[in-house]
Amino acid sequence: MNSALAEELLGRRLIVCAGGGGVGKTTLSAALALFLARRGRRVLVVTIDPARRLAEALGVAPEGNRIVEATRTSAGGVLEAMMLDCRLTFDESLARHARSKEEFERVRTSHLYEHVATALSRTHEYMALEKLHELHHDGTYDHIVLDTPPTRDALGFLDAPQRMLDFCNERIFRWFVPEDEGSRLLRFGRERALWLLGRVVDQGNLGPIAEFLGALAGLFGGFRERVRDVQATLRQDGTTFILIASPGRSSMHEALYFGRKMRDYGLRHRHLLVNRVFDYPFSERPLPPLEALFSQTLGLGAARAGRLITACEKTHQRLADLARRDAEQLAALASALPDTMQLTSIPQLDLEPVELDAVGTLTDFLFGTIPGPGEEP
Amino acid sequence: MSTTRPEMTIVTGKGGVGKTTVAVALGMSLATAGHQVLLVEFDSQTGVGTLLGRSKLPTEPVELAPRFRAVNLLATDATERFLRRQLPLPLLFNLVAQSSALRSFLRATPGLDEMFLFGALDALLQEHPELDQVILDAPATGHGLTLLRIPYAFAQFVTFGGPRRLVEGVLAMLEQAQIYVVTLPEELPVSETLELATSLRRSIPVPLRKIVLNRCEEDPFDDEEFAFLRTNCRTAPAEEFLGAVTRWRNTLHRQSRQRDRLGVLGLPLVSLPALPGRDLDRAQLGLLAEVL
Repeated sequence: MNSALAEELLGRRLIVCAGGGGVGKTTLSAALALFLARRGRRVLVVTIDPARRLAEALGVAPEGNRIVEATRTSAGGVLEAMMLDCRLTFDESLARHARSKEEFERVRTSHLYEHVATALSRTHEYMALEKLHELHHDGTYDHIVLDTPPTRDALGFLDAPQRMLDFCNERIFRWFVPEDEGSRLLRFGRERALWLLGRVVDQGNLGPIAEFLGALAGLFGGFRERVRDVQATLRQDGTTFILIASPGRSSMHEALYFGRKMRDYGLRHRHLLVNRVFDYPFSERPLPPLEALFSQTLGLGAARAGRLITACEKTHQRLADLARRDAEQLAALASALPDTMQLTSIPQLDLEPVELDAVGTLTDFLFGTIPGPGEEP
Repeated sequence: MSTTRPEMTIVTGKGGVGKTTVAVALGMSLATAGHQVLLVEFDSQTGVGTLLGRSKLPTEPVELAPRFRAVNLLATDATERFLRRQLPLPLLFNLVAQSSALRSFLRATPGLDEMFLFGALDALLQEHPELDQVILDAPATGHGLTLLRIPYAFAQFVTFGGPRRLVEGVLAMLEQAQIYVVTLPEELPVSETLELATSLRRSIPVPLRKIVLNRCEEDPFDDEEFAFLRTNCRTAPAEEFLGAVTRWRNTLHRQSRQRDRLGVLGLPLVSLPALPGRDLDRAQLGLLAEVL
């Protein structure tokens, strides 16, 4: 029973799982959420990964932004799951903040809208925050577990509030609002800035961009407050970041880098989970004497017996090698970790990682088997 | 300014599948075959640098091996480069450089960083006409796809002047490009690869040419041998070993099932062997290069 981790989870409303790609972050997010549900809590697990992995991990197929119940526990807890649909969230957000229907339509029908909404890169992070904010303040859930995209993008995720604030705060948006006449000085400033921007992006491109941004600028008023709220939410005591890594130098590098970054941002992070650590009972001790075992058997010629022993030895080598490497990596990581962080090692489990069973086994491993008979798959 | 552009291979795939390893191995194999190769990363924190024991790649091309160079292009440099080109008059450039509003506008506009990075790469290739093979180590899948969509998105609304020339240069560069997707023989990476392939084919004209299946383990036992093993492990430690072998074989069987799923794509599938250890040295990279 990992009581420190259990306590940390039970005491936080917002749990953000962060780490590199391919470390099993999605499945682990679900496992942490399942633990909370087993303790009778109402939990939502959200993924902002553009690839739809959470659905597979939970064995449900939530459509974008639709919350689906994954399981109920005998303790009265509920685990629900949601895949974030960025486009839908963006649409909803614009509709909510628009001063008028016409303004919203002007943005929505713009040439540029498609790209801002779906194609351009940081939208995922903006939209994740928007949704997070909504869910957090909605109060339906005791806990929200957020599965973030792989590290480099998760950093973008951390930067997103500030970027978005910078973006919203810029006077430059006001320059695009045609009806915002302002003072003479402001008008002069605007003309000069637009002229400069025209030089940068070329005058001919400015028209459609200006029109789009002018409409968008009107929508940012409410957004600004939201972004500030989300920033505060990420920093508050009720929020914790769980770092997730797997053995391997690059994944460890990422975890440490991410940890440093979170310290800089003043975000709470106490736990590092190292997932899929290869475990082999004979990594540090000799194999049982196979020759003796096989020589007394009938029906196997000497040549075949020899081949079998070679295969066993080869397998032994390979498995011992994998286990030793992981142990070394883990030791290196542990020594590089600040004292404030606890490292938990999770072995590679013999399971298809795409079923609720696998999620449950992970939960069992981390927190012990807490009665799950009332759980419905 | 338009010259023939080198062939480009965009290596993409989910994070942690060994994408960078494959990109480096591919670069080595091309360099060994006599090509002048440049490996490119965009705003990388780790990537190739970590793989080769450096902390980070420099922002100017550095030689990794004969005929094989690598570079990490930074969005900040790329933006600066665009502005200097667009605003050749120092006075004008300085006005923009001093305008915090304009700069943060440029920084915050979605996709702009990436567009400038593509532009910087195109410019770099023009400066180095000796290069005939470029490998772009693209970011992990979801955003890798986003990255590739950006130039085509910009092409639709950037229609004038310098920015247009930048976009056109990038589109011309991508005309010589192909995509390799790197994945692992595991359930989730394979599912993601199938999704990625569909999205790529639907939304980007750059052709998907190859799937590279990394870290394929070999099963040392045939079924008969394993059955024999099972009936003959009777002592406690022998059973413990049998347990480990059974788990291992389950893993390998899952791997081959996953490999089969990729068949629907109808693409060449290159399997790379799993090599001892989690991290590779140069000799092992050479081995992968040979397979590629």
